Amino acid sequence: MALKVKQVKHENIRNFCIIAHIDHGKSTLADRLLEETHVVENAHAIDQILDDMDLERERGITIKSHAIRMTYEMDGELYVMNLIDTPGHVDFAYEVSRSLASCDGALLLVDASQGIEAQTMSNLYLAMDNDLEIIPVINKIDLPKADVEGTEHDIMENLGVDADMIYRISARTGQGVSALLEGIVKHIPAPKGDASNPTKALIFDSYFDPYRGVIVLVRLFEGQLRKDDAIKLMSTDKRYEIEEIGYLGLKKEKAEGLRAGDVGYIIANIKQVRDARVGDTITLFDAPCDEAMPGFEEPKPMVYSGIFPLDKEDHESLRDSLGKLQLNDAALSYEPESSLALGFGFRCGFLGMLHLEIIKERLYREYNVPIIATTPSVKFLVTLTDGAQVVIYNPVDYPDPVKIDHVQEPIMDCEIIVPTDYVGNIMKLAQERRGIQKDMQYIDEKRVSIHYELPLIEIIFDFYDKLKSVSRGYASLDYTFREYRKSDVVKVDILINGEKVDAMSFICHESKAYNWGKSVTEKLQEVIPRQLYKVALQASIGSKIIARSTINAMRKNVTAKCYGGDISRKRKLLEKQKAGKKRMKEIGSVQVPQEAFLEVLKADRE
Amino acid sequence: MNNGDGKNILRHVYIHVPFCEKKCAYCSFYSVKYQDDLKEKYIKALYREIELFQEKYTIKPYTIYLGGGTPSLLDPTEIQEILEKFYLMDFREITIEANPQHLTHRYARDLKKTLVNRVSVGTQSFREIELKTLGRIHTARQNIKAYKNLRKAGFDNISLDFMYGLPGQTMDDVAISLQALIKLDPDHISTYCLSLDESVPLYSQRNAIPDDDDVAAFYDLIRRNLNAAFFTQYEISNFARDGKHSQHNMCYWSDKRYLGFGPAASGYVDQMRYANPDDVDAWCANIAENRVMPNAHSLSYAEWENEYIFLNLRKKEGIWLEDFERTFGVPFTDKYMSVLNKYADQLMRTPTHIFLRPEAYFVSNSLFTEFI
Repeated sequence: MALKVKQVKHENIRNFCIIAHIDHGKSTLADRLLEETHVVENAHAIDQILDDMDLERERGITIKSHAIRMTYEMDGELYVMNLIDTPGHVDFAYEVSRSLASCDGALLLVDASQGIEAQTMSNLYLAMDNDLEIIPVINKIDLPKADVEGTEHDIMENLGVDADMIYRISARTGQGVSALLEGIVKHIPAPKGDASNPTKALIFDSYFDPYRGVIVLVRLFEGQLRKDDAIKLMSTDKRYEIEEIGYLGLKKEKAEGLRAGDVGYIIANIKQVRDARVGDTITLFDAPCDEAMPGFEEPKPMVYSGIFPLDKEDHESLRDSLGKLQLNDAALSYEPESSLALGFGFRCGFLGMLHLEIIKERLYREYNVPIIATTPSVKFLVTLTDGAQVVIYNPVDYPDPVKIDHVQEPIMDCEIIVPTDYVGNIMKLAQERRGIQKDMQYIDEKRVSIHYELPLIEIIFDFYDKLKSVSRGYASLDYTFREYRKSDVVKVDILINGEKVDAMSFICHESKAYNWGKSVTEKLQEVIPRQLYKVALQASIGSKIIARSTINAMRKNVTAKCYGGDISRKRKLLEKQKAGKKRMKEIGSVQVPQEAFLEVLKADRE
Repeated sequence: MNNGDGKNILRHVYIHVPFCEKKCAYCSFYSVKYQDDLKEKYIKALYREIELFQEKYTIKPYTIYLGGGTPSLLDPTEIQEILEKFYLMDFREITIEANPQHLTHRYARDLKKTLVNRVSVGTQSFREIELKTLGRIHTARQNIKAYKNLRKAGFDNISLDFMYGLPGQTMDDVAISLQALIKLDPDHISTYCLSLDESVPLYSQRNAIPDDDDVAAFYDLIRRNLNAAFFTQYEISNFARDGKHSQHNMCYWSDKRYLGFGPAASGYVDQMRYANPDDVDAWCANIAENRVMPNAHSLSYAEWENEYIFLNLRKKEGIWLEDFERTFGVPFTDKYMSVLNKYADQLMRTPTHIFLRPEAYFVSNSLFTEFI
């Protein structure tokens, strides 16, 4: 009985989101809500509806936020509920904040068997900052290892709520979900704002549709938007005309217009996503509002890596693919880069390591361009002896050390939540990564929240994996940029048979240079096959060699016997070897397999 | 290669005898368990295959090579009958591979009565434990006995096989077998470095195989000792006393044409390489339909040149520059100047030849790929 609702009373609109840690059941709960409100009859058929990118589904994380509109009847009144989904990873904290800003309330979903985790906490604080009404929900109460009481205690302690305000559900079985729907109507306030005020709409997401251009998802706070309206994007002052407007059902549902409190979409002949950035404000061109919604930020890449096509021939298609990805991803930045070792490619900026991984994988899967990504780096601020300041986000551009006065590196505020049993391990790890402990608070008797200042360069190399492994998977991490801080960093070069491999250079703290250099040369020693001559692998700072490994000359590659004159078998073997060689890059007359560039990324950074 | 009547004259013949009493643990070549009736079927089809080829080509063998499998599972009379299917006025070398346990005094004596003038004995090792590991069904004692029987019967061209790089093998193991081998004073020695296909039982012991450095050291030891005992290394894996190199094997390395008969045999004729089905029944079925040279692959010019190069470079004398230029119409040293310069330490040069330095034999595949 999916009701078509043209106009619902303003006070009957509920805009909310779900705050949850990965795996705590957000998508499953969304499915149940859609079933309960008859948007879909059987959500299993379209598994986890809100995550519509393959990659998202596979990784079980939401990369981009989406929204869906549901109708719900209670006590003879018809309600519209807009569920706004939020990305679930720290790389996308800004997008999360804009999604939260579009809501009036939030479900805080906590897995009864896991308890509250770091990211949940940080998103919760974010929600509280946005004055959202929080409804605590304990999920997975049907699991045998569920600790409902413990989780309740956690929530009460952290939110200062009473036990009777907490909903207990199983999104999997549907238990408690209809009560939760009633709770949403009861507790989450109707949107504020007035349809007669000057129009003010917040963009909380936008994505590129190859047929329609950019689809902009908005929450209207004030005024109205109608088809054919001339609108203005307040960060750029650009004018567009609304071609189509509507609500976000399972599919897009066209409408005449949207009013204050509504959530919907706009199509206005916008060519690329960067022209309709998340957080920007839309108003009417002829009757603009006074000021934009607060909190708009340009996307800030934090991690940089060189992306090169595996095959030189693919350079063009790599450029095209990055262009297409950027249409849909305002946070991705790139510019041409050339490397002696890898040829022509692009230096790309990413929000974080997950963002980088996603782009790499999308290039491969959606655009079929196999690539090599170089060692990720962060942005360093280098002050030269003449007082000039340069920004270095590619080790290749690192100035001659004699010309450097000092270097600053990005420092992050990190929040780590971990069971008390593992505090020692975490402290050891953070210390190895040059962390400075600022604070430690007990969340309950079993868990603490530790606040560190950590250099970003130390976080991007497998810090998260290490964190998980020293805490048996229990630690959770959240971080935000704090400041640039003076630091003794150096550039380390990698040399193969005396020839510098520009794509393998990296910038790191002086105290790490020897270990990292050694671990890279050792990794190369493992992955570069033996050649006909001895190969020296070196790490250097300037002209000073700090680590060295050697690949001994190849001793055996022979076909001893050609059985009964079966020459074809032998020729095929040689052709196969040749094909293997062709996939290698020749550096200092050494055949270096492509994998070497990937493997150096995995070199231990202890 | 033309005798004026439009037919090619073929000078080299390989005959595959696919039977074994028991398959060796390292062997991935085609063989089936020996049975009398299967042998009858095989011989009948072989005769027919020879006829079919003779209708197509003029075959006047310089060399015939009976390989296996285990050709010594055939009676000397059967061997002679097979040989007599060919025109034999020009023959120079007829080799049979034999297993030591078959080379009794009587078998050797009867074999000498045939046209076979060279015997290649699958001795492999003189260490009992290694023979057992390899799944061989003869002993080191039988190796020696077989050799002596052949000598007594009057054979003056005997080759012995020697395998190395075996699971658990040490330098001492290699040296001991090698000394036993040299002491016998054979005319020819074929050395084989063990390589294991995933499909063979011994693959399970691959981790016990000495590493590349050790195996390379074994190879050096073998080369040094055989050279010292006056064996000339005329090819990567083969050593011979003066004049006793295998003329048949040299045809493979010299880009000569040859015919292969029997299941799993391969041949090279008319710029085509073909391989018979590695299955007795499938091979018989082809012949019953008068079909020879199935799945022939026509070599492209580039493939031919590649083969020419890597085959000739296996030989001590290497590539004869004049022949290369005559065959491919371009001077070798012009075409491959950059490779020759880059690998000047490995590729030696005389005014007439380019050859591989013996020290580079064991990494020869890496060099061969440079010419592809």
